[in-house]
Amino acid sequence: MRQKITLKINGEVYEVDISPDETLQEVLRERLGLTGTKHGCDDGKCGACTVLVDGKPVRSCLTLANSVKGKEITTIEGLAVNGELHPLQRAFMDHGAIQCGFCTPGMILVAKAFLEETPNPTEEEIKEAISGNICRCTGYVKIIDAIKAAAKEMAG
Amino acid sequence: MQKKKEVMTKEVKEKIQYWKERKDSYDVIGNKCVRVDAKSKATGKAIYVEDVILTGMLHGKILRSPYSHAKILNIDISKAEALPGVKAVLTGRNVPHIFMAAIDVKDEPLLAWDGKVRFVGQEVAAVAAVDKRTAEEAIKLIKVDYDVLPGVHSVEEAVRPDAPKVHEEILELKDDPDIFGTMKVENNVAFDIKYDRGDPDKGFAEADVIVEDEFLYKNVVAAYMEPDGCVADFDIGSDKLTLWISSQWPSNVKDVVSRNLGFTDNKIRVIQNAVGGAFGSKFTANQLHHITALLSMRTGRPVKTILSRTEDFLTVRSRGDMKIWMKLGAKKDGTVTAEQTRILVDNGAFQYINRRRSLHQLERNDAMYRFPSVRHEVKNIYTNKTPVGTYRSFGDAQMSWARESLMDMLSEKLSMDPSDLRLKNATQTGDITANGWLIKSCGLSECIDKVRNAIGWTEKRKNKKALGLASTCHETDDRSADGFCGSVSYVKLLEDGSAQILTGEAEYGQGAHNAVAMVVSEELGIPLDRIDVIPQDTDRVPWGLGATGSRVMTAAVNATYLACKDVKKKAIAAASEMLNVASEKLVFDKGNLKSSAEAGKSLKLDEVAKYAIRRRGGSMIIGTGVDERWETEYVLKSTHPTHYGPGVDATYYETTAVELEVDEETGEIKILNVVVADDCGKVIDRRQLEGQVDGATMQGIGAALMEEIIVDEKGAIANASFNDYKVPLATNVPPIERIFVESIDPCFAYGCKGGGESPGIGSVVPAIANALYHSLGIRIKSTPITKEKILKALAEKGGE
Repeated sequence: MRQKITLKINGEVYEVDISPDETLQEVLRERLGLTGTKHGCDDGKCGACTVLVDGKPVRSCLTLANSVKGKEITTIEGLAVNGELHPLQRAFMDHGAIQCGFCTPGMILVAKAFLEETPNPTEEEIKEAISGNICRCTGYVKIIDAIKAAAKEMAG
Repeated sequence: MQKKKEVMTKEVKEKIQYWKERKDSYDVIGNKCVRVDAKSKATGKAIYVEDVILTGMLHGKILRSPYSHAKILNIDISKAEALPGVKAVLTGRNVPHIFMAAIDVKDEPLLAWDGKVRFVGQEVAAVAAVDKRTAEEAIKLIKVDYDVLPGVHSVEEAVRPDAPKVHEEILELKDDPDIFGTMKVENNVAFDIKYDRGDPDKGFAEADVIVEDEFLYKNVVAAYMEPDGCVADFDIGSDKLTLWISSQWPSNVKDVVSRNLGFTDNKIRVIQNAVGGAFGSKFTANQLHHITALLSMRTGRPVKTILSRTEDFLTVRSRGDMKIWMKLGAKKDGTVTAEQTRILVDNGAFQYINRRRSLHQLERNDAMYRFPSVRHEVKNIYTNKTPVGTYRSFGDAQMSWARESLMDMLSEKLSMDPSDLRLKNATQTGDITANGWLIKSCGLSECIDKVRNAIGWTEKRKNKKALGLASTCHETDDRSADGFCGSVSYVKLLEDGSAQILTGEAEYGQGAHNAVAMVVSEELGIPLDRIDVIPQDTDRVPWGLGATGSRVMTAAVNATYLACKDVKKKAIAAASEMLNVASEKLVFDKGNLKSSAEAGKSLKLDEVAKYAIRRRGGSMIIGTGVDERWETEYVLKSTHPTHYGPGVDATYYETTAVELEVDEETGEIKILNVVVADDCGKVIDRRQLEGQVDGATMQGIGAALMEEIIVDEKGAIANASFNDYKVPLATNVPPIERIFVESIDPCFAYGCKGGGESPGIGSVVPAIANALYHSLGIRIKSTPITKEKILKALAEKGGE
């Protein structure tokens, strides 16, 4: 049974016509053309589909669109404000943390949520925080460097 | 074997000297920069194939064989066709009888049109429907009647005299051009390659010490983050087919699909934007490309087919199971006198590019050390499993596993330090390898030395710390695919002095496009943010030989360097008119054109660019660079009678040392430290190369400790998901120290070579096994090196 729902994404309100089994990932990518959220696996293991719901990272591939009505959803497209990149985006760019880029949106969003909770993390804490996001290109080293650098900047 | 004079000719030495003098003089080359595509990826704006959205687009889905070996008796598509929203259904019965791209064979029919399936997951039918859910439903409605046959799921099963045949006969290339003849397949042997160099019997007879053993390497997969996919749009208004793909070789996809489906070159276009990793496994035109193209042709609408992660695991051309028996003979002083191998490759159901692969693993092995005599025999065996291919190596991951383990075993018998044994036999600049590769630059000895110094080798080994090392080499460009070896770049100077680069080489995350941008920035003095690299689009960019074998850093960099030379020449000609100064008296200096005769007479590049367009009849300055190198005519095809010759232009070497500790109660390994020394030639993109070494190291750790494709008794991959196929995570990362040894190679601009791959290809896995042996006295000879194997080996040792 199709239904109209309202979703708040990156500060904007969208009305979408969905079927109840549609995932947030499908709605973002296929209904709304927000393709920054990636599709890397079938079972919520790779982390490439990560978005923030009320500031917390969720696997959009395992989240029904219906279940996040009325919540604040943040995708990678919502990070830059008025063209100004988020410190994490800049840090990923500046530290070589991006190669193929497919894990990047999910990785940045997980890092954002993490740093907002833990502004002064140790290296071990950073590794733990991103251990649900697979990267096959970088070996994680420069991703960790980038998160450390962003942490410093975000902490002021 | 060493004929220094022939390799290090005057021309070679002059080239090396030329680049050596300039090595530290660059503004951009060798430094760290922000990748030209980093922002698009950081903002989520980069377009991967699944992000392509076209009006009226249909969704494609493939039906796959659940059996590893079966005849297709009947396919009933009537119910699927009748489902509302289904626009086309393909089976082997309604598609052209074409074969997929392969080296020298035709053995892989499109959609099993020959009526037989040969591995679990093989493509049998496909649909295009208005949305994904309808496509999935339609697939379930296709009824296939199979006559299930017994399958062979290992090399041991396949070579038995009474074993079921994966192929009765195949088409094999007999002669150029393109003449194929039928070949009967005996005992499931797809092909074998044998050669001797020197006199191995004499070599072994002369040896004071001989070691031999058998090693097993278990299949692992690339597990790139972006599953394979394709969008096809056949436009009935122009009869033109456009494909969006995720591939290392867009030109090949264009060539093969056009030839197979009957398109002339002007009626097919292959586009590629961002690619989410490939590592060798997204190489040629495949079933997915052909199926998606045909669905679009049948419906007249765009079709998007994206593999699920499970499908990708089932079909990706993987590293493959391999059994290697190897024997080494040496004199008392450690000089190796002979090497022999017998190799059984579990090829899977189709040959793909594996003739090239199997030849390469032998050739690279021969390039590693000064082997005066070798005897090799490699057999690729057909099995009813996913076809193997290339994952960050051409069979040399497996070869290195055997060789580097055996070198340590040899060093023990000789009472020699393993690093000293390697130094004793290391290939040197000026060598000709056992298989005829000309080594014009080699930093192997320096790599070994630097690594052992950096990790504190001698002291730690004395204290029985678990420290091991291994070395690997990799090619930089080879000409065995098509006889052609090179690259083309065009550099366009826009009116305001910005530049566009059109390169024939694909970017798939490895930094190819950033490298060529750095070259233009260096040579023409243009800042990186004013340089655009045009995405791969066969309507716009030149034909390319594919991003494989670490060839793009060199071939594309070379071609772009030459294109810049051409730009400078043309800019000087234009400036000469503007300044009324003879061309010979003008020099190009960091983006300025200056008169060497008259001080004060100079122009900026953007002034010249504008003049060229506005005042010279619109004659924009476009530089053409065609990469030409030594012996470009030499062809080392897999059908070459002797396989001997300089198949590659440059070889880069690498050594990795690993320090670890083992919990003897649980068998758990903790990697404490990794040091990698990479003989990469002149470093071009330093930050990217560092990242590549890190990534390759983690892939090596994955293959060593946790990754393994498991096939069940029915021949199906049992762990086709990230849940069950474990890859390294951030919590697995050890400290990694990277050392770059810049041995200058004469073949390529700046003296660069490939780099960054080898720890993942060949060194980390044996280094770990060698470390284990040194501290615990247990020799693990099969991958992955699991806790269970360690505990078992310790128990067996304890029982001795």
